[in-house]
Amino acid sequence: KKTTALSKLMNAFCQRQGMSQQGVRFLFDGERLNGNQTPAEARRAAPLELPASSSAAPASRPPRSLALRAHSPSATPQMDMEDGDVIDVMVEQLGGAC
Amino acid sequence: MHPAALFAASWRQKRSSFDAGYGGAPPKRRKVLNSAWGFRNMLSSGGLLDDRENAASLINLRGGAMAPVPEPPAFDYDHVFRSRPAPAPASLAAAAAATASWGEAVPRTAAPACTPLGARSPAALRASGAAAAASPGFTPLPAGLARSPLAASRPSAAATSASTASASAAFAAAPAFAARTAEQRAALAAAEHRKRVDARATAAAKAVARQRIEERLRQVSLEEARQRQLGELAEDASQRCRRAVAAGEAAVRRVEALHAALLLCGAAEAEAEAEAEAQSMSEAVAAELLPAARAAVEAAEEGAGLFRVEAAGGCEGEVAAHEAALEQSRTSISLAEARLDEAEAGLAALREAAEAAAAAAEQEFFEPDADDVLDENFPPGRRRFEPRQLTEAEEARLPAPPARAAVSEILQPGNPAEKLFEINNTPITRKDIATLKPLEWLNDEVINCFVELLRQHASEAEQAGEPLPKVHIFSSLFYTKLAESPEYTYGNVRRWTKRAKVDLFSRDLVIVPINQGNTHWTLGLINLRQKRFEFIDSMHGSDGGRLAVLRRYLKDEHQDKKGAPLDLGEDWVDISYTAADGTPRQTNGFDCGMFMSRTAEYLVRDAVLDFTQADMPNLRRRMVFELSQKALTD
Repeated sequence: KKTTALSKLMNAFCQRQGMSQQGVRFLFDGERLNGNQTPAEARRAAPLELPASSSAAPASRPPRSLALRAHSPSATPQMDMEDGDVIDVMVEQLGGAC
Repeated sequence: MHPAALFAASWRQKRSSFDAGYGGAPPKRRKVLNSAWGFRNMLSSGGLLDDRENAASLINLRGGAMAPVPEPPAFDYDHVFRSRPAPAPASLAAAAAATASWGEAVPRTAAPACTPLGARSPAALRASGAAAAASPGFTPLPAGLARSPLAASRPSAAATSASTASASAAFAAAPAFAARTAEQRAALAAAEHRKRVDARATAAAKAVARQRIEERLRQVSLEEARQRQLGELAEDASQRCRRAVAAGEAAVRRVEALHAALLLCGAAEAEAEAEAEAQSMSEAVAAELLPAARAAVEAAEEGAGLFRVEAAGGCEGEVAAHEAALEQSRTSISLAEARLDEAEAGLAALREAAEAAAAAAEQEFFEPDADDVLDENFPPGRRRFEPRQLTEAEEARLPAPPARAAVSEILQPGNPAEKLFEINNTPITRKDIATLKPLEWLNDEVINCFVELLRQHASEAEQAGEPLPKVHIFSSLFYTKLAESPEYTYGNVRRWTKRAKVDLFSRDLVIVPINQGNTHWTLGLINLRQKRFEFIDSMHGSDGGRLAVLRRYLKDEHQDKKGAPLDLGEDWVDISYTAADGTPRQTNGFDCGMFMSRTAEYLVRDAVLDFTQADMPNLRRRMVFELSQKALTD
């Protein structure tokens, strides 16, 4: 829903994927999303649904990236987000040279 | 004298003497009357009759009764004559005056009846008798005479006889008492008549006086008119005099002006004369002075000649001195030249030394033909950047946990999930910041927050017009999303530049932090200014096909945003820097994140990549400081 904080979605995703929220980053078009934001604030209005199956989520290791797809038949046209807009879910990156 | 006048005068004289009470001798020429008078005188002296009684008796004798006194004719002269008071001595003078006036008036009335005196015709006598009867002051006797029938037909002799007869008859017949009353009555009537006559005389006198006054007034008015005329004449004369005076004054003024002009002329003449005199005098003086001046000039010429001679003598000595000095200076010049040569030689030596030193210095920083390397292979960056050490104050000044804890405190262990601060929606937790501790691997949160600071710095510098390259820095998640989800997918990042509102093709540098296998951080670089795809690895490893990914992405981005394929051709080269290129190299197994982020910082600052492994501890602390301050520091 428009006014639902994204943190609800993020929590649901992390629970389903069995990941720590601190280990994932939610991005839309390259911009970081804050859990306190709502879809309206993020300039999107369509309710988001978690994908039924996350193909890019191997059970053993956390995926490098996941995609949340929005499936909303009632997306309002004036909003940035349209059906099929994707919230990128990135996992933590580390590096220090092997 | 007129006979009537003569008659009246004589009569008057006689009457006056009679009134005065002495009976003088009667006039010779009137014998008849004299007789009457003589008779009367006799009566009165006998004491029988007074005047009045006499008269009244006479009348009574004639008429037998009291006849009313007849009114005197309306004749001006009558009453004048009769108004004389009978017994007054002053009446003489009055009678004389009246006679004078009467005498004048007589000819008017009596003239027609007048005849020559000598003729004595009865008519003339009658007329004179009538005149005598009509004359005032006349006792009624003549009137009675005139009325008597006898007197009308006879001359005066007859009248005289008649009256004499009647008088004698009355004397003889009338009783005395009756005569007396009649006489009294007659006297009263006479007195009344006299009163009336007196009033008439007074009125006449008043009229005369009025006439005289009028005449006098007339004379006065005439006099006044004359005076007025005289005054007008005098005024006219005075005006004329005034005019004359004015004219005279004007004339005087004119004369004065002329006089002044004359004076001026005289002065001018005097001046001219004085001038002429002065000129002549000056000429004389000049004539006197001229010889002296000539003498002076001659003397001066003479002196000048002498001086010239003297000067010529002195100059020769000076010239000799100058020549000597010139010789000296020439020698000194040659000495100076010699010294100059020496100095130049020394300078050349110094220059060579300096050049050698400079070349040596350059060789210390760059490999041989460093210019070419910079142009061809060396990563961009033209300046020197010396990241300073944090001061102790700064180290201590980072208070206010959790957001602004001191670096040391921030780096202390604690709840890993504690959010210390947030930059552009990216929260930095204690766990994240802990990756900046020595020996730790940096995670994407720290690196992306630092990338955010770099973006701020670059945009601020660009807005301030600083001569820095125009850069765009992607998040560390960009490359992963582009190339490893799970393979190259341009669509994953197609909208990133749109969301960031950036046109890559307007940039000089596009910096792409790359996380390699979640174990290593490297930096990809799209150098649009120099048309290069560069790969900077602190381990100097191979790019592993990542430059090809960037090349492909650039083409896709151009196709997507510009709607046209981008021909990168032969101009665009891939460069993976190696140890030979001198890019900073890590000597441990944990600082690659630091090297990568600092390389990005140096590129943003357009600085030469000359930091080393030794700078890393400071740069780690600086990064903590900068992230907590949310801004880069010097």
